[in-house]
Parts: sequence; C-alpha cells; structure tokens
Amino acid sequence: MKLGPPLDLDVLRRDVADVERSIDWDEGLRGARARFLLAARGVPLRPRAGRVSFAPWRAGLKSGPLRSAARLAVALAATLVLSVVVWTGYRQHARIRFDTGSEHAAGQVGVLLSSPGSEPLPIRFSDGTSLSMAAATLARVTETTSRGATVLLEEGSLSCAVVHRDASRWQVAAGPYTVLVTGTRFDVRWSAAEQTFALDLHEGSVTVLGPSLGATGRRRVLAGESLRVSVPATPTEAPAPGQPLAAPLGPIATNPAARGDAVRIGVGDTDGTGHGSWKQLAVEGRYPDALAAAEGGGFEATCRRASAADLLLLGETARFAGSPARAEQALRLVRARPGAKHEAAMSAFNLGRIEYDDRRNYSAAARWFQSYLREEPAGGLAREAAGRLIEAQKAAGDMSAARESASAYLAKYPAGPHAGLARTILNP
Amino acid sequence: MPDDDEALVHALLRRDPGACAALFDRHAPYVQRVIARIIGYSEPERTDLLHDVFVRALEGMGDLKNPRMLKSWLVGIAVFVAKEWLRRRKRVGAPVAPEHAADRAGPSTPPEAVEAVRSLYRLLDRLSEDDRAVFVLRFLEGMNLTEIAEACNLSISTARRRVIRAESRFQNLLPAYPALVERFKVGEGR
Repeated sequence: MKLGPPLDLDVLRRDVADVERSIDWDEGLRGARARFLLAARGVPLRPRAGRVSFAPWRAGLKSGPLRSAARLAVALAATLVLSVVVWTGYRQHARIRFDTGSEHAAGQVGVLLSSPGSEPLPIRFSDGTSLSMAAATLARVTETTSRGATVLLEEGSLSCAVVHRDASRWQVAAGPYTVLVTGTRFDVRWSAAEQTFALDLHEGSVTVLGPSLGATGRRRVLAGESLRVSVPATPTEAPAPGQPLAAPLGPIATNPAARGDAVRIGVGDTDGTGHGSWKQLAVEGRYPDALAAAEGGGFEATCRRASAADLLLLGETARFAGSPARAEQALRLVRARPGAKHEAAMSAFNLGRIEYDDRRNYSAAARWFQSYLREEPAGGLAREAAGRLIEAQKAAGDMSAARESASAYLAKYPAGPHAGLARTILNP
Repeated sequence: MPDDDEALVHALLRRDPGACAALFDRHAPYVQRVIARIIGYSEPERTDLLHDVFVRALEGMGDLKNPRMLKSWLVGIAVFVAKEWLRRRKRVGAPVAPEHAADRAGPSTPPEAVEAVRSLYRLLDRLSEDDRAVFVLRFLEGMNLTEIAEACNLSISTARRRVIRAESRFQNLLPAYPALVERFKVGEGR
C-alpha cells in the first residue's frame, strides 16, 4: 500500500516501544478492571437487534386489506419507537438515587447524614457509586443529577468508590476544598476545627480546588498519592492575578505509611481535670466517653480551664455525643472569650449547625450562619456557611431572603456544592 | 470461560458469571495501549477511558453483529472514546498534571527516545482528532486501511484520504520538532 510521500517511522516506533516498556500498564489495568466489574453489575444489556426483512411487507402492500394491516403495524411500530425514545431520554435525564445504612433507607437531598460514633455508615448510589462515612462523620448529599452528585463533608472522613461513566460528574466539598471526580477510589478527611483537609487516592485521578494549592488554586492528585493541606491562617479567597496564596503548599506524599499523620488535632497529655483526658478521648472519636470525662470534672469547671480552641472541640464533642445543650454551652462560652475572633466565628457556624440539624430551628440557624459570614467573610467555611444559609432560610420559609442569598452564592461560588439548590430557588 | 470471542460474546449476553472479567482480561491490555497511543502516555485519564470503553462495550454488546470481530469492535470504541476525550480537552484545556510521561520513563529508556516521543505528542497535539487517530493507527499501530476504516467507522476510500492527509500534515509540521527530525536522520543512516 502506497500512502503519499514515504515516511519511515521505524525509529519512532522503536522509541515508542522503549517508552512503553517503562510504563506500568498493570496499574492502569487493575484500577479500570475493579471499577469496570463494579459498574458491570448495574449495566443493562440491550438485546441483540434482530434482522428485519422488508420483502414480505412490500408484497403485502399490493392488496387492500393487507395495506391497512401494514399501516396499523407501522403505527404500532412508530408508537413503540417513540416510547423507547422517551424512555431512553427519561433514563438519561433521571437523577441518580441513593440509600443509606444497612436498612437501605431512601436518601434525601440536603438531609444531614450522621454516622454513629462506633461504626461507618454506607451510602449507595443507583449508578453503582458507593461511599462509606467513617464513624462520627457528618455529611450530606446536596445535589443529585443524572451524571452524579455533590456530597458535602462537614466533618470526618469519607471513603469513596465513584463509578466512572461517560460524562459523569461528582464533587466532594469539604470546607473551602472541592474534589472534582470522574471515577476513582479515594479517602477524604476534613476537620472543621483544625481546618485541615486530607486526601488519599487509591485509583484514577482527581482534581482538588481550594486555598493553599499554589497559584492556580488547583492540584491534580494521582493514584498512590496523598494530599495534606491546611486553610491559611489568614484566609485569602481571591488572590490577585498571579499572586500565590500565602500558606505553604501541603505535601503530596506517596508513602502510604504517612497516611493519617497530618490530620491530627493537637492533644496535650492532660487537660488538668483529673478525670482522664476528654481531649484524648475526643480525638480518638470516643465522644460519649469524652463528654463523660468532661462532665466528671464538672462541665463548667472543664470549660473554665479550657482554651477557646479546646472549647470549640468540646462543643463538637458534645454535639457528636448527642448533647446539643452542652455543645451550645461550650460554644457560647467561646464567643465570650476576648481575643478569640476566629474561634468565635467558628462557634457561630457550629451553633448554626446545632440549630439546623439538632433543633430544626431554621431561623436561628440562619442568624448564626449570617454571624459567621459577617465575622469571617473569607473564612475557610464561608462557602459552606453561605450554602447553609440558603438552606436555613428556605427551610424557615423566608423565600425572599433565600433568593437574595442564592443570588449572592451563585455570584461567588457558581460551581459550589449548593449551586444547584441556589439555581432551583432562583428558577423554581 | 470460552476461548474464542464468539462464545465469549454469547456468554456476556447470557450474563454468565465471570464473562465480564474474561472480556476485560482478554482485551484490555491491547485496548489500553491503543488509548495511550492516541491520547499520549502522560494522561492519567487513560484508566478512566479504558473503563469507559468496556462499559460502553457491555452496554452495546447486543449491537455487535459479528461476535468474531469483538477485538476490532472494541478498538473502534476505544478510538471513539479517545477522540471524544481529545475534543473535550481542547474545549476545557489540558488538566494540570504534576509530571510528564517522559519523566516517568525508566532509567533504561534512552533519553533521545524519551525526547522524541515527547516531541511526537507535541506535534500530534497540533493535528485534528481525526488525523491524530488515523496517524496513530496507521503508523504506530501498523494497521492496514481496512482495519483503520473499521476502527474509525469510515469507508476505505475515506480512510485512505485521511491517512494521506494526516501524513502530509505530520511532514509539514515536522521541521518544528528538531528532536524528531534528528531521530529520522538516525533512521536514514541505518
């Protein structure tokens, strides 16, 4: 075969073969195989298309009664085709569904999911994607579409196995960070108290957006890599063009042994209560024990001795232990501490969560989220607070305020985890 | 699991246990290489696209007219998926990758080979997705026109015209890539 002017690419073919020999092909195969077999469980097979001969039809059209029968058959066939088209369109645009827990309770968008203190909570999506909330984790699915979902990790750790499909679109938001996912397996952790974000990628690749990720504000993470990053002490949401964010870039570690080391809440050996370290217990995720330890030394006395940061942790501990009253007590004390502006703002945010999630007092929740946004407009939780504000105002029935907040949200975070909700409110 | 592709296709349509794994294990290594050669070796999306090809194949298995052509049918899906990815990348811009493929090459890979392959993909980035795909299939995969036509869903005459066009564009752009030109000189000296 002669194809245009001769081009001898033998050397190049050898070069390509040389480079290919150094590629770990098995790594890609393993990852894709696991995900394909996972996805295959939910893939519907179209039946084999039958061969249709039109010859008998043509012969039949010559006679009158058969012509009528043919017309009827054509009409029926057309109806069938139309139904298939409509059904296919519906299937393509149907939002994915999800359920939670061992009892497969139907999931609802926007509702807080809280895993018990001692065991994980599974979330299963209809496209085969599965998430596992580690013990004592708070998260919510804020949006579902035909192509994926947005999951907001409020606190704790999520293990995600996202099934990659054509044009799939998944996001995990945690504080000011967003993980853009097409299909992959990874663990993500977020500590609102420490403002630390961690991601361990097992398969595929993801893109992480957020502060402290260099001048571009985005970082690609590949299989086997880990990302540890903290929100800058002085948050900067909108750096000048070309101006890098002030905080240092979190390390990408490829050593699996390093996993989990970077995200630790600072713990002293003792908290001076004489009743065991409630902080130690809290860090270990033993929230009821931690609260009991704090109560054992007298809750008020424990609060008096605690720093503003410790009070924040105590508030979270009490909340996880199922005591919103104690949580509120600790968090309100933070706001009374002089010189603790950041902790005061954080406590406002947490008080908003208590009012919303534990007490269903949505008006009060909205006020607390507004307080946070007023006190720390560029804080690490600003995006989440702005989204929660919309949710709270909507739930309180204040649609005029919700529309205003939705409009402000979309102007600032057009691709944020609450963008879908905001658009729905503005264009019902 | 059956040894031949025809029996494998029937097993897949019957949903036999292990058929999906057999499909993947038998054909994924080759399909992965075709994808990598079209999109380039540095792209971590290779795994995602490989997964995509097999999901699409499974969904459309009932449409496969000749089960004995399973392999070339899969290559056709791979070419389609890879071209789609290239188009998408052109639209949204290249992802921020922390390293280049060539940087991952092992110590035994000659540096001039690494540079040549890197230059090759810079050049291919300047071809259209269609030209790039046929160029890779013809000159790297060594496919004949019938195979290219099948993989790209073209008539043989269109495939011929496209190969000629891709080769001509490649040659026009070649002088801008000295590392490649040098390699061709090496080839001529042999």
